[in-house]
This record gives sequence, C-alpha cells and structure tokens, in this order.
Amino acid sequence: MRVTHRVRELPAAATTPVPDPCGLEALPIGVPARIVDVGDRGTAPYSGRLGDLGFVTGARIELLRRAPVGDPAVYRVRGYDICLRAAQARGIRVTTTL
Amino acid sequence: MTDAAGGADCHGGPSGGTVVVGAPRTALVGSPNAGKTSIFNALTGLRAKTGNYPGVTVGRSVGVFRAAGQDFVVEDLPGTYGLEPVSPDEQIVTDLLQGRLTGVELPDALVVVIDATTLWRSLRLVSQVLRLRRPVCIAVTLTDELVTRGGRLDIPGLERALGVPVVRVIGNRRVGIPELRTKIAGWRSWSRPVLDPPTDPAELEAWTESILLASEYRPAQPDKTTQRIDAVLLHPVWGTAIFVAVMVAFFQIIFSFAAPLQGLVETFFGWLADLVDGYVPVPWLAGLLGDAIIGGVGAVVVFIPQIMLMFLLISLLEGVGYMCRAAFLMDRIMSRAGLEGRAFVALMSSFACAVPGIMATRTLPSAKDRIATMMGAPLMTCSARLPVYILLIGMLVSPESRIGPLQTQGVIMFCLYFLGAVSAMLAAWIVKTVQDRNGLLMPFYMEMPPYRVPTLRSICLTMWDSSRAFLRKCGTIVMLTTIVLWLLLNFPLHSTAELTASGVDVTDEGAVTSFVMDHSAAASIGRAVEPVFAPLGFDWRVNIGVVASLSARETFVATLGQIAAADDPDNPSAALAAMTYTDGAHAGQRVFTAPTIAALLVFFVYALQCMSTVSVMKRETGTWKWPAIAFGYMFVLAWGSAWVVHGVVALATGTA
Repeated sequence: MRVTHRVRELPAAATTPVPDPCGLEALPIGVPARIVDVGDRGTAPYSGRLGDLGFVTGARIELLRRAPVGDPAVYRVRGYDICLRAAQARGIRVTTTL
Repeated sequence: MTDAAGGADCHGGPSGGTVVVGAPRTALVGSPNAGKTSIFNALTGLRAKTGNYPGVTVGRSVGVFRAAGQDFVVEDLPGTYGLEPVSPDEQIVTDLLQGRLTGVELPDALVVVIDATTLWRSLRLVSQVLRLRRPVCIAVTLTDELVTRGGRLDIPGLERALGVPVVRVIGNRRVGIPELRTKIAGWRSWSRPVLDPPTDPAELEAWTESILLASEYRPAQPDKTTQRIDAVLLHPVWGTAIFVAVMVAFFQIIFSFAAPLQGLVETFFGWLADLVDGYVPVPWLAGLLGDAIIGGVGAVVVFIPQIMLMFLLISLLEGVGYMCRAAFLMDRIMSRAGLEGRAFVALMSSFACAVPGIMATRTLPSAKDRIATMMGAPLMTCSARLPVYILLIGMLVSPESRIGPLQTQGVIMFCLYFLGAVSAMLAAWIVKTVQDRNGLLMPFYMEMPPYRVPTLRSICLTMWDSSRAFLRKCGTIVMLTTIVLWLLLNFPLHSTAELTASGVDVTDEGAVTSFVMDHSAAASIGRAVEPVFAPLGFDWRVNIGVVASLSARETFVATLGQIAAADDPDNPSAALAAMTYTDGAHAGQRVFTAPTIAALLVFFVYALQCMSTVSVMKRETGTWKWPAIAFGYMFVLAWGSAWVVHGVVALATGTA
C-alpha cells in the first residue's frame, strides 16, 4: 500500500459539490462531520492506530485548518486536536449528514 | 534560576536513584503529552537513573520513592497511544508490559496516566492495559484545565465504572502526589475489574460510552485562547511570517545574548591560564596545565552559555506548545526530504550542536525517519564550526569589503549556513529514499495540545537535562584530544646539546618552540597525511589542525593558535596569515591563499569532525554501522567539494 502519487490536488472548492460521503481530506473547513468508515483495514501494523487516536466509525469530526500549502491539516476529534497528512486522511470516509 | 541550581544539585549524584533489588516495581503507561514525566519527577523527586533499555536505543528512566517505610521502584515508560506498536519505543512498552523484554522484569503494578481533556480517546489505551490483567491504577491529570474549559469528571464515578482505583494528580503542582504514593504502596489490594473490556469495535464504543456516562463526563470546550492564538500563528501568511521571525529571533538571541557571557568565560579562563603561568615553575607542566587542560576545557566551556541558552529556548517553545505548531507549518517542506515536521525540530537544534539534534530525533515515531535525520543533522552548521568560520573568513576577506550594502564576511557566513542546511536535507532525502525502497510508509500524526504556560521548574529541568548530556559528552572528549595533541606537539623532548647541534639559538624561546614543533610527533603525522590533503592546498601544519579537528571542530582554531604562537607569540593571527610553506615545491609561498581558505571552509561544512556526534550516533542507533556510514560519506563529500572549490577559486583568482 505504497502511496506513490503526489498529494497535489487541493481540496474541492466550496462551489463544487463535495460527494457525500467523502474522504476526510476533502472536508470543507468548519463543517461538522461524522466518520462512516476508517478504512485502513489490512495495513497492519498501523491499522489499529487511527482507532487509538479516536478515529472510529461514528465519531464526530471537524477540519479546523490546513497548513500553508494545504497539507497537513488539523482535525478535532473526540474533543482534542490532531494533525494528519492528506495521505492518511484520504482513507477515512466522512459524511456531513449527522 | 534558583530552580535550575536546585535541579543541578539533585542531579549531582546518580547513585541516589539506584534501583533497589526486591522492591515492588511500578510502571507509568500513557500517551505522549499526558503528563507522565511530570508525575514521574514529582513521585521520585528527581532521583531518577536514566539509561537505555538493553540492546535498543530507547531511553529509560527509573526512579525510587519511599512510602510506608518501604522503597518502591517507578519506571517512566515511553509515551504510546496504544499497545499495538508502530515504533521502536512503542515496541518496548508492549514487550515490557507482556514480560517479553529480556533483562527487564515484568512490573508488579501499572499506573495508566490519562489526560482528563482527552478522556474519550484515552479510554482506548486504558481498555488495552486492563486486558493485560495486571494490577492497574489510573492517574487522571489536567482535571484543572478540564474544569476551566467547562468540562467535568466525577472521579469516584470513573473509579466505580472502571473497577480499578483512580487518583486525581496534577504533577507540576504536586496535587495528588502523596495520594498516588500511598496508592502505589498498597498495590496488592487494588481492586480489579470483573470483566475484561471488549475488543470488538462496536462493543468497545459502547463500553467507552458507558464509562463516560457513569463518570458524568462532560468534555472540555475547545480552548478559546488557543483558538485565537492559532488563528494567527497557523495562518497561511501571518503564521509563516511569525515562524520566520521566531527563527530569526531564536538565532539572534543565541548568538547575541550569549556573547557577553562567553566573554566572561573567556576572561575567566585567561585569568586561570595566567595564574598557572605565574605559579607553576616547571615549564612543561605549566604548558600542559595552561595550554592543554585549561585551554582545552576553556575551548568547550566557552560554548556553554550558547548551548544552555539554546536549550532554554527550545524547552520554552516546547513547553508552551509552539514546537508542534512549527512542525505543522514545516511538515510540507520536510516532506520534500521524505521527513516529517518533527524532524525539523531536530535539524534546528543541530544549528547549535548535532549532539542534542540527534538526541531530539527520539521524538520521531518512525525509525527510518530517525536514521535519515541523524544522517543529515551533522551537516547543519553547528556552533563548533563558528569559530573556525570566523577565523577563516577573517583571513579570506577584510571586514570593510562589501557586496552592495552587505558586509562580504556576513554574506559568506550566510552562504555557509545555507549550504549546510540544504546539504542536510539532501542527505536525509537520499538516506530516506534508499531505505524506503521496500516497506510500508509510516503514517504521520501529531497531537496539537492547547497552549499552556509551563512552570519555570519544568523548563529549567528540561534545559539542564539536555545541557548536562552535552557537557559530559563534549567536555571529556575535547579535553582528552587537546592533551594528546599537546603531547604530540611537544614531544619528543630535545636536550640543549641537541638543539645547539642543530643550530638553534637556545636563548631564543620562539626558535626553540619552532624547532620542537617541527620535529614533534604531530609534525610527522601532519607530513604523513600530506599526500591526501596536498591537492586541497593544505600544508603539514594545516594537516595537524585538520587531523586534530576530527575529534572536535573547534580544536582546529586552538591548534592553529598553538602553531602560530610558536612562530610569533605576541601576534599569532598575523603569524598565521603570513605562514609560508617550510619545504617542498611551494617552499616560501603563503599557505593561506584564497583557494586554500575556501577549500578549508567547504571541508569544514561537510566533514564529520566530531567524536561526540559519532558516539551519540552509535548510542542512538545501537550499532557502529550508521556512524561509520556518516563519517565515510561526509569525508568523501568534504574532500571532493574542497577539491572542486580549491580548483574553481584558483581559476577565478588566478592563483594556481
């Protein structure tokens, strides 16, 4: 599961409709969302780690801000702030229908 | 600063923290930032013994406290978010808790340290620890912050829900520490949960929810102050501008504020040397004491104000919470080198000294990132290169020379710093790329805790811990080399008869010193390596300096100083600039021509002339392989670049 492609594409602009559910990295800033799938099964030994960090199905999540060039980004999940790169966030599917 | 002095005294005797055989052992488990270390410090009163786990490079802290007339051993485990390891540090925690770590006994009792403001997430770790079926006690930290941010937590409720003892602790303010001590003393009677927490994700969620409900948990509101500060400090434009300003201020403070203190240290050692000169009647003993020991130690001690100031600033930035913000802003740039934001902190520390920089790689969860950062770190312009650069640039261009409005000396200095930083990133990228040929990429995640006001005590402790390691490592090595060098430069001894026979005027002290040096063991070494360095324009005396500087860069200045002082004790710098080849094809020509100085500068940019760095690298990687690779590649790079630069400058200036 080597992530070889460059994380170049910036998140979709607010005008274009974001598919729902979408990848966590595509979430607009400040819109509350819910995790529908953590989707990192099979990439042991890291599979459990996102769960340990609070990224579990059903958890509320919000994108707080992005770093200057768009990556990484800070998310609020389970009441604390954590920074993830788009490469990790992409695997997590979220919905804005709470 | 009285705090730091107190800490210093406590750290004086490592024997105070010796591990007591047969005493009950307690391990502190918890995620990074949960406050484990401040609880550990408060419990053991700083009588901790630090070292490594057997066979690996993960740092280990063990301390002892007395309660109910008995000694208790406490171990501060590396921080982890879960017991499914993703890094060497976490592997240690998992192995140790399962009794699979050879040479380390299974702890009798476990204290899980959890942060009340991240309770929801922390219960995952608690559930994993509970499933180990060991005696477990929970220490809840940051309950004060939880309350100020509008949250609440009922400790007795949490205790009932989990079925294990829970203690409220605020390590920095020592709240709850006596209670925790008493609790640990009674570890045999700790209650245990009736059932193991579930493993199935859905059931685990339900378990967590039920615990939160039973302990009447209300999560903390997002910290308003942190939000406001972050809106500025992490702003794409302002945040970046402030980051650059912080970095500029960082180096300004290190270099300008430390200067007067460094002057004081220099004056003190000068006074000490004069004292030796005046009171020690035996000339060789006076030389050994004055030039080698006082001179050698002085050469290192002069950097202490700078190093301590740097550690003070780093621990301040770390304690406040700015370091992870800086890592967040720099992550994208660092990812170009295949690294992550946190590696930036390690590389930045290396501007002061590669030793703490390499030690700072411990914060990187990925072993590959650690190695890559370590391979690049020694190329960052450390403070030991600074005196060498100052000396050489001073000989290369005059202070009046200008490029436009800028002083040429300053421009060259900046270019050297820039060259070092770019090379460090490139080196890290190459190492990372080679290592990443196969295997999984480590995911990147980094907690962003709220801004906090750290206590003076914790700042000073962190500063002292890092400085102490630097002092011990460098002090011994540099002192040893200067003594050896002094011996090599002054032996074999020559009798007056021998001197007269060689046509030396024994009444002329300068002539005698020159003769002794020309026929010393060091001179033989300098001449022996001449074929290697001749293409770079170095003569045998420069070679002595370069060979000596392999132990520590700053000895180059001291060595050239010793050599030049032999020629003209009253004005060594003039003697150095006017130094000519003594023999060979270039006899009579000046040694320090522009191409040679430029080659020397570039050689010092790249060569790994620092035994402290080599030994720290060995300690951190656990093998000689990496320091050997680093030394090898850096020497080849140094020689090659110096050769190219020598040729180019010679062409440009017409001095072949």
